Amino acid sequence: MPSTRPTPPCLLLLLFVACALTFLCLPSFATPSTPTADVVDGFFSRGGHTNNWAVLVCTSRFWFNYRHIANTLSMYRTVKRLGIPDSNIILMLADDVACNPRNKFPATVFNNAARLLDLYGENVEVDYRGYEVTVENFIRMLTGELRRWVSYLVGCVKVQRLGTPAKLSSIMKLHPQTPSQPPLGRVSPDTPRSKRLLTDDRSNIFIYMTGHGGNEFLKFQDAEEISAYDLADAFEQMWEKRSQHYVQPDILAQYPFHGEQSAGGEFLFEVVLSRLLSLSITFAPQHHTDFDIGVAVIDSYTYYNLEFLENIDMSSNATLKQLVCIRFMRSHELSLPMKPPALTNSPFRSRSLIPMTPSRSAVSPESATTSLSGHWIRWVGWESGPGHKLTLRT
Amino acid sequence: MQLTHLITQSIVACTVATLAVAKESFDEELVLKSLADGKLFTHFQFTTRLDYEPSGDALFSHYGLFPKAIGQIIQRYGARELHLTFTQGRWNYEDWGYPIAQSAGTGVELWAWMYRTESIEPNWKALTNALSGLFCASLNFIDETITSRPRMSFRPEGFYNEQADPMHERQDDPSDDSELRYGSLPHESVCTENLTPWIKLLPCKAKAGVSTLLNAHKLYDTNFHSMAIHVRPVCKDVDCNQKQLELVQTVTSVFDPVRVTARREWSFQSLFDRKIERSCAVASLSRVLVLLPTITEDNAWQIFPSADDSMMYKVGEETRQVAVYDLAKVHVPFDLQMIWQEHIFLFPLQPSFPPFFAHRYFTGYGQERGGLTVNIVNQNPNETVPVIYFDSIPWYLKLYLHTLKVSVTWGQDVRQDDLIKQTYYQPAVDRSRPSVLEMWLTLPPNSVTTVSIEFDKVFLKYTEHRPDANRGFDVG
Repeated sequence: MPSTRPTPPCLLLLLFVACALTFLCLPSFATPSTPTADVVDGFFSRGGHTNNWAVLVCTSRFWFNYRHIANTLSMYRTVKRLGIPDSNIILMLADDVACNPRNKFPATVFNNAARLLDLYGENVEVDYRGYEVTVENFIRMLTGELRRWVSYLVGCVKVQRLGTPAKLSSIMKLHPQTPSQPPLGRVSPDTPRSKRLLTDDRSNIFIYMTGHGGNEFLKFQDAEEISAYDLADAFEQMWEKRSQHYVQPDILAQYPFHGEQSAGGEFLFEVVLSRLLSLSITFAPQHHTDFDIGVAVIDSYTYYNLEFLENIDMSSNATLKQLVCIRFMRSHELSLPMKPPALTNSPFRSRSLIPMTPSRSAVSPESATTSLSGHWIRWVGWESGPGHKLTLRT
Repeated sequence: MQLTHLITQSIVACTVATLAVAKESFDEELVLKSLADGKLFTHFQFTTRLDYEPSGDALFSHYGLFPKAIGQIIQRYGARELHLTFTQGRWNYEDWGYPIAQSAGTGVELWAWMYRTESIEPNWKALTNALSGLFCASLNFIDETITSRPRMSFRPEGFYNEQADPMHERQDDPSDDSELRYGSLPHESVCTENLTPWIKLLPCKAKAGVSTLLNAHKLYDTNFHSMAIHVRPVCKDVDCNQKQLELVQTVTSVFDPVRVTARREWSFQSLFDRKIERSCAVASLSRVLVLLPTITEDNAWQIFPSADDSMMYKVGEETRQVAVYDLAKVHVPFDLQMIWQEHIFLFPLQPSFPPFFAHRYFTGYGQERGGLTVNIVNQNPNETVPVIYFDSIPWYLKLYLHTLKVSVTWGQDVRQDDLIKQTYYQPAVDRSRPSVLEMWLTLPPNSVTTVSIEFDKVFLKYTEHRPDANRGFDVG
């Protein structure tokens, strides 16, 4: 009964990729031109994409950054709901707010003052937590794995993929004791599976990062930073190692709570864009505060993301374009300084066409001057309002 | 429907057949006890046993109840015994007395007896990493800089249980084929992500039996909680003809019903927000035990439903009663309730000090020097108590052995010259191993013994500070 077979899980990532395919002219990635390579490439390309992965990172420590954990867990819940299992999710949380002594509601994290949905739930697996959330671990995790098929196939193709024969042999020499296992890259050989990004060359990856940041950097735990170039380099290496099919990073750079004036978010770089379908870097102020918990519980960026995502399921036909448009409109109508729709991009699209930079004028008032109560009033006003008519801006 | 039923039956039949071959057993128990200050002690214990030969290679190819994840880890990395605890809060000895189960320090503690092979160090490292992945904790931070090898404080609990006397002479040491590794992370948080994989090791998960009550939202809203797994080889009979691998999983919590209602009364519904809906079918023993207090005029209580069965247990000279509920026989949904005939609970004015307890604290001030002091109290009026004091101090506190002082600071007519029976001290090496101090002390009756040592705080490189450097470091 093939006609009644349920639709294969259409995941968030797949959704993004599919939409990009629909709306944009997606070129195929360049491949080496030797005949053998083409044959092998054809073999591995037959199945389309193989699996979906999500990398969800909260880089902020400390209780007053509760909302960053809530953002990340909101996305965790969403990707799980849309079908990515825990084994394919790398969740990095820089602090433990759920069981923090300051949390009035132990073992829970809420993303709304109504507290209807506990994001922590009964079944959560945090892969990197606390002090483990560092730039080094993050980049090692992203770029760490050399692909299984690369290592298993013996022949010239493999050598080409890795660059030179010498490089391959040096890798094999590094781990002579485990010949049956794939050679390991930049993570320790002891690293458990749950901390590895075990993607292959047909995997789709969704990357979500939230934390404080600024022009071309994102802070990790107030102690170190990842720069746009580090990130670009990591993606470039993932591409070189063919450890991903398409990357859909959804990167949220949250500016400091008290709004330093460095906002600007030139978080744009050539290498990443040449490899990615889309990249969105957003300045996102906190959305509203829960006065029982005592801190802001969610950022507006994630709030509007969820408003959209909570209404779709695995069989939805919604597109990324709809998501970014709606997210933008909601924030725009509320005069929140959120940047324009994040811009689906293709490797060959001109970089000049992508308005990735949030305007300075939009950033400064919110981040620098608005008090907590300001957010609250705004939120309440929105809740009690008659409902805005949504119009699509073109 | 019928087809489904048939399939289910055949699956059950297969499972039963497998169980018969694998020779496994699973017991579960929940123990509840009211403490003197109105709090309620709850202790979940799940025991899985598997018949095995320690030398067998294909040990975990066929399994039913024993979790493969644990079996494979201990087999792959040559761990003979494994003990791992996740704790938050401090056991309040002064008000709660001694815990029923072994107490554990705050944070995470891990110790294992590793088979003595050439690869023991890589195995220990791999073991911490594997457990880190399994239990979603930063156990991989237990590296060589905080791993210690205490000589006296731990003994294997396995085959040689009867010889596991810490004071036993070393030539009879049963641990010839294995070595101890110990590490602890005092700052490690414990939350739902640790409990989730822990529950997944249980045959009935949290779907049936007493494990139904393991509600993270309630367990982490307590004054003390400790979650542990202990894996050890045990003997099935006295002659040890049949060996077994035993996995004991425990969750210990101290609830505070008085905080909510000002009364001591409790029920499963109020404590865990759940009732036991069904018993765990694969458990050979599934029961709830309530250690009942003695009924006095100002301490009159009732328990519902009343127990079908009861046992007696001894506390010192007194004999007390235990209400026993077999979950295979009780009416489901099963909710146990205990109430006291009192309007509000009156806290006892006198703390009930246990006969023996200790208090450890830092001395000194400033960023350069400091000291560590431990007061060990023996309230026993007549008996001398032998104890082993063990401390593993990180390398960034540079201990001075010449400042180590042991003296009886309170007590009458006490001889001070034979306080220490044996000492083991391992000096730290910067950035590679911790200081280890172990002392076998003989505490005189009715006395306070003080152990103190001074240290320098090492000047750290800036990358060696934690991201929350303002908080400082946690030491043991």
